[in-house]
Amino acid sequence: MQTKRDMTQYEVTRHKRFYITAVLILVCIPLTIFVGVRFLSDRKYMFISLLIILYTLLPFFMVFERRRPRARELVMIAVMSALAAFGTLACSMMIPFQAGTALVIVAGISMGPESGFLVGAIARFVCNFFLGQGPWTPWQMFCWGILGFLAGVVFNKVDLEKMKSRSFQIVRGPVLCVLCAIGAAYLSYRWWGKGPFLGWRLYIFGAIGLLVGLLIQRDRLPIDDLTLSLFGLMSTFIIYGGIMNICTMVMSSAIDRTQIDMSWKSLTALYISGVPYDFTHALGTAFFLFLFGEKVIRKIERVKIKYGMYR
Amino acid sequence: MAQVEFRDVSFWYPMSDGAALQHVTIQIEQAEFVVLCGPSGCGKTTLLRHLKPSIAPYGKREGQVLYRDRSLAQLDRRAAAQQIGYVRQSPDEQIVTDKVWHELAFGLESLGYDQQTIRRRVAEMASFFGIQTWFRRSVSELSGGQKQLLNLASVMAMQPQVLVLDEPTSQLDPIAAGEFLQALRKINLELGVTIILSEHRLEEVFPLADRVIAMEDGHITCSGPAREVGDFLSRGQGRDRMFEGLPAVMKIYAQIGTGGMCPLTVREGRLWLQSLLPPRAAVTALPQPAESRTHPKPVLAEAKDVWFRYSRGGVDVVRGLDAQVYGGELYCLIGGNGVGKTTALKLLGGIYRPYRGKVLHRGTAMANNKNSLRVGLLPQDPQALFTEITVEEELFDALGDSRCPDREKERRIEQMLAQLELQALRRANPYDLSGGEQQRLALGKILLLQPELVLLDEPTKGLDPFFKAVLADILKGLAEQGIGVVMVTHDIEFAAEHADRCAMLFDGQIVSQGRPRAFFSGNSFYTTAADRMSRGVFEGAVTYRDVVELCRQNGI
Amino acid sequence: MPREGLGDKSSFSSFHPLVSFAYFAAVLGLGMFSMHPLILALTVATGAAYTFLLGGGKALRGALLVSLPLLVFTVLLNPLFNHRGATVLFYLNDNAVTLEAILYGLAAASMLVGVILWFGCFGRIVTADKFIYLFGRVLPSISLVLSMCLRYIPMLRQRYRQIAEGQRCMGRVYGARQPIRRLRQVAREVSILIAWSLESSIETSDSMEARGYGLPGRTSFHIFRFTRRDGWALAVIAVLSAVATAGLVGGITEVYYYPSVVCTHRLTDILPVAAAHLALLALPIFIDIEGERRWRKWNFEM
Repeated sequence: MQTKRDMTQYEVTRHKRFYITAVLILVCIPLTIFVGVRFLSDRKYMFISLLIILYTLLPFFMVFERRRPRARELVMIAVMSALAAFGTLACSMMIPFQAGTALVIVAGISMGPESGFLVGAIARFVCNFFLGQGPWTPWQMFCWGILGFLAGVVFNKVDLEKMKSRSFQIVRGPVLCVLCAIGAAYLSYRWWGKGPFLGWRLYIFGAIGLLVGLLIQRDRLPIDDLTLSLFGLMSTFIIYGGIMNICTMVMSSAIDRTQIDMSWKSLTALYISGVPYDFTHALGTAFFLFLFGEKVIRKIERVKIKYGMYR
Repeated sequence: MAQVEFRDVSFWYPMSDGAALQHVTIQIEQAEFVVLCGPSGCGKTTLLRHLKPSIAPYGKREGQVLYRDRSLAQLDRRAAAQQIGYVRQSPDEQIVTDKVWHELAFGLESLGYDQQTIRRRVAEMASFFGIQTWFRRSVSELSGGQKQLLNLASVMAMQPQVLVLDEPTSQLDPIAAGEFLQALRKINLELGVTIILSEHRLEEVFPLADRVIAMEDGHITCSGPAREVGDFLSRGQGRDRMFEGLPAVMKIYAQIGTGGMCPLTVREGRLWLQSLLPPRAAVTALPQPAESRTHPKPVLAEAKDVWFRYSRGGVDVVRGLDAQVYGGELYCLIGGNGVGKTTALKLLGGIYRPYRGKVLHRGTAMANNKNSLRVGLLPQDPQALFTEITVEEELFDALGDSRCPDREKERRIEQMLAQLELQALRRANPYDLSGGEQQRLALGKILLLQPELVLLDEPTKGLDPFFKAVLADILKGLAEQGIGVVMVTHDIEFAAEHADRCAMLFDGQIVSQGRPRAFFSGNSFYTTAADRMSRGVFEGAVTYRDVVELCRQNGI
Repeated sequence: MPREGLGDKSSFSSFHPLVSFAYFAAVLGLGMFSMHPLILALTVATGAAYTFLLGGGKALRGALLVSLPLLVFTVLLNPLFNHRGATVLFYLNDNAVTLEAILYGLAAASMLVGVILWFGCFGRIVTADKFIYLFGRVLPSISLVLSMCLRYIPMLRQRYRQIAEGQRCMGRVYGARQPIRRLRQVAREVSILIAWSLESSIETSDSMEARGYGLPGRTSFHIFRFTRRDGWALAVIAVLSAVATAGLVGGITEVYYYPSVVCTHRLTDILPVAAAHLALLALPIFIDIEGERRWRKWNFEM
């Protein structure tokens, strides 16, 4: 009875978020771009992009507010965000990796896409109180949020017992998709490409492959150390890295409306220079997920059951 | 009309056989100060949580809980939140927001008061509790005692009629606990708020209580004024688990067993003792136990003129510490808050390095992080050691790095479970254990590494008297094996009873040190209740057993 | 002035959060639009000065350390890939490197540096509790989560230290020579921290519910007061930023970089707008220095 009400409540929020997001994407974002391009001429990308990022953050926050979350939910989100922020702050001092991204993914898996997004966004915001706020803050919030959201969407957390399956069959889909996508990227590079291969193609094709693969296996990915770390590696590298590179480019205002062709090249250069950093970040995430991902998810599940998060 | 009434309440937790509460019937009048006592796990918390509908435990319930003659379940949420205040054990976990002022206002915000009202109420509460000087601070800057006082004040800001407190002082040091209890007394006397308090520290709360209710195994064994309940607990069928927790004065009275009114405070105890004895008692001191000189104990760790500070620009926390720890002894470091006890402990264990002076382990200085001594540290919170999902795996984790065969590991874990009396809980999650059990599990984890020096940081915090006795036995067992045990504690009574040597720290150095009897009789304030009570009549009677023994020798 | 900068003792930070927020919104907004070299120079200079005033030399160095790579990247990259512009300096692999492209790169980079510097000052003045207050109006739950988060972080730090000490005593210390073990150890410690915090967090939620969280009609309390002084400051900020915005919208500070650098208006026309912009940028610096001077005087008189 209780669960049923929660389910419907969950559905309602989902619908609400869908409508708000739809309005924002279909109306506000094009309007912003139009106004920006029409009236602000060609060099206001920093401002416009900041607005767009804020639009994408807003529906999550607003729906969360409307839903009037319970105290337990708030506390869980606050604890997980604090942990993710602390993981980033503390680990960066001791080792080259940071545990924050892994924790955001874990939070997304065990608390669902909504909370996963909020944990990511809030954690990054809080983190930047210590590391320094900047125009990059909304971008980073968005990236972490999306990672948490995605993790919540694709992992199956109903079959806790099957967690240790390590069945390659289910992982096969996404992995194959990504590999195919990277293959396609390589082919397109052989046919049309100039310059080195490690550029934007790797990110763009990778992102498409990853998304397709994840859509195929939606809600079905098993939670075991291998799948977790594979997911961590790919999503951090492709999604976080890909978006943050755009952010760097937009911030440095390297795009020039009349010179799209030229800016593709600068984009390539930027993406190549981003590969080592993104790869370290992704490796760290995969590493932490491999070591404690599954264990921490079990612990969160336990806390949820023990304290009646579902009641 | 009773303020709160339990009418034949029984309660069962889901998936457990025994009842957590059995036919509990209590009436609590308005403005009464009620103390609930009993060993841990006797159902105190379950009972108290029934008073707060929003956090009432889930399970099967029979009987009725009434609030002003109406069922508590029918009380609407707003009234329940406002009229019944609830304060729990842990000072840290109850705080929600990051600023003191915000925390004070939290409850009032929930009730939907406007800015002006909240401002006034918060101002009132801050003044009542003396919080105004730290009103704008971050909560992370506060001490444990201040945090707990803040928790109390933020509940009181909602102006409740009934205040329910579940062992609120168990995590505080004696000074802070005393202040907290004084604040409670002030609330009770000046505002007429009903107070229902569960406690282990009966020494201080018995004099405050209008009524004491003793519980055991989910039912009420005795209820009445403190003197009667004390009398009951010490005379009952055999002496039950609660006896050790009674105030020393009451224990002495009970053991001597003469007539007259049962004393409650040290003052009453002194008068009573003096009335009992002739002006000049025949025997005034117990013989000092002869030191066993046959086996000179080896020095395990030694600090020589050690100075320490946490950061370069900081102040010295430890200033010229000189101390020795011998194998096979229980060495207690006592002293007020912030005198550097914990720091001294960690310096002795080689966890911190002094910037001046030396710490020697078995006579050699440490080199490159490699101790020549195996040291085990039990942190203040045992949770700091827990990694696994079950008790058994937890112990396995300790042996994870060792190379001995699995069978050998299993044997040692089995042995440890038996030693700690945790066999029945081997499959339980460490976080489902009670505080005392968690403490023992953490200790077991450390002992599996076969340390030669064991460091304990406030191990008796939050333990009921029974668990304290268990802990003392374990520690004595360790000392018999030749292990050096150093503990930092606020618990003077524990130190007086069980320590081989005590040292008092002040301002980063040891100001006095010696065997408990000589040590405590040299202090006049910072000493046990038994000593304070018998001072001037007996010498060096620091535990209640000493006083009883001396009385017996004087023919009483 | 103290060597570490004024920090939260700055007079400007004693204004109502709305004032600070409006001020930085105006400065950052205008900063993201202005490409005129004069305005850019003013923004960067005042930004650097205010960063220094608030956080001392260390803060300034930190901010420059963040923005320098971006700056070099933009200045170098733009002329490499952008070959427009009339004044060709030299050819690189048959591609023209033009003066205009370099200048444009420089302008874009200094805009970025300006925004980064001012964002830094924003973070120092609009501290977390002001954010929580500002959000509290629109997003009460989120702002509460934020406040809880900031409450947890010092607690996590303290707990982590306790965990690390306990592990160290169990002989689990690994130096740089054993990187894998060291990583595993950090992961283990983080995992302990997670379990501990999660398990204990439930008491927090009980405490919230016990104090009536979740009742309808929750209000949000704050200790900020909007005084007459705040009103005046807001008005001044509004007027100055209106003038600056007018200059921007009216195209007075418009600059074309291609094909050659052309300012549409003469310097004398730009001067009033630039003066208003400068006044806006220098406002907190002025308020803080004046505040410091008064304090000194007051101390002297005492």
